[in-house]
Amino acid sequence: MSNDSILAGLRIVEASAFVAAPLGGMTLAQLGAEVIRIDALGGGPDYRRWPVTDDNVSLFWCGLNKSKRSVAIDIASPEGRELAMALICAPGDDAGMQSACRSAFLTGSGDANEAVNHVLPAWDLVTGQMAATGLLAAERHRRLNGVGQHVSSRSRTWRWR
Amino acid sequence: MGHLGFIAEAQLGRQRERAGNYLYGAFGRDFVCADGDRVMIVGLTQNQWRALCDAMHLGEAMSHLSAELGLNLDEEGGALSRAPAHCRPDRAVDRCTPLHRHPERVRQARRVLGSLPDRQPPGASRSRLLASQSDVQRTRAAGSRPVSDAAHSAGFFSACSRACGACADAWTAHRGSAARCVGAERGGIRTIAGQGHRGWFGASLNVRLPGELANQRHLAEVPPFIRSSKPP
Repeated sequence: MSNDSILAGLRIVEASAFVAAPLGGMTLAQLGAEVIRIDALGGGPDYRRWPVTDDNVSLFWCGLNKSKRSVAIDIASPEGRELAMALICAPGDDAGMQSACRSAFLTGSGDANEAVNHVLPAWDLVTGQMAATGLLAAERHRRLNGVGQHVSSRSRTWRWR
Repeated sequence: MGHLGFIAEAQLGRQRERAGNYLYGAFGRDFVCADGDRVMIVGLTQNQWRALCDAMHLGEAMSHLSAELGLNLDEEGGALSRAPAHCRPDRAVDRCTPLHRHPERVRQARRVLGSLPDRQPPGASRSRLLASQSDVQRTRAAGSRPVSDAAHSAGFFSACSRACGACADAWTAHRGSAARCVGAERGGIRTIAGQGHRGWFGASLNVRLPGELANQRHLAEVPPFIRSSKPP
């Protein structure tokens, strides 16, 4: 990424799956941040998410993880956690990003007693963007005051009428 | 939309069909309960899918179906999309790209899965047919109507692969429905009731019942029925 990018020098460590957090991380990556994913060995739960190519490569996953780097770590093991911690705490201009995001495919109209599955996971998309914005605000706060912040942007996407 | 793979998919010449409430690429669909409410049930990750199968006592059935089709239904976004695989047989088979390369499997899948109604409450005739072909009639609760009658009048029918006598006391007549939700918990997944027979199976299930509905009579729309290669 070019040094001219506005977020050049900002390193994001991302542990995520599905839509919201990967989208937030990618938004930052496209603004020039260095985004490093921590992935499960063999890929996370969304690694083969449809749509896929004939070779079973997920277009969904690839679409949401552009401009990122990835390291596969078994964080179930103490050694893996140590590695992840070292990565997160490495010297630099770091910020972490994590989401236990949910699938978001259900919405409903106000008066009809019918649920509607939406192909566009709107809440996740909004959540991801809000996470990116919140992270940037927190990073600004840290620059101004020297203190980091914990930003929570939760994707509550199951809507029951 | 592009980030989610839609554009890449289109670039590959794929035409994604309208899928209604079926989740694309994994198990997910909605069910209508007897009180008219709908519940959406999703098994997106492998763990969720397995938990769902366990809760519905469908593990064995899915293994059987996997063997019949020569496909791994446990696989995330695998060769055959799970939801359609047992909820929406014809369209599922049509939609599954890998299967297009195996017409003999398509025929086999259609034969195995049968031609079941799609997304509509099962008709009384079908309920009656299913009831007559299984042994649910034997399952009664004191004071209730025969399940087949109740199922007929309600347009609902439930059965599960587990021929368990314990289900008997779960059956009762309520507003024409034929089952009671036993042990439902907020956020829990339970098989409501069922009785199966020789290859016919299915399940009723109930998720995320509000607390006030727990232990109340409740019946889901007929969920997936799958016919084995050896019809009764």
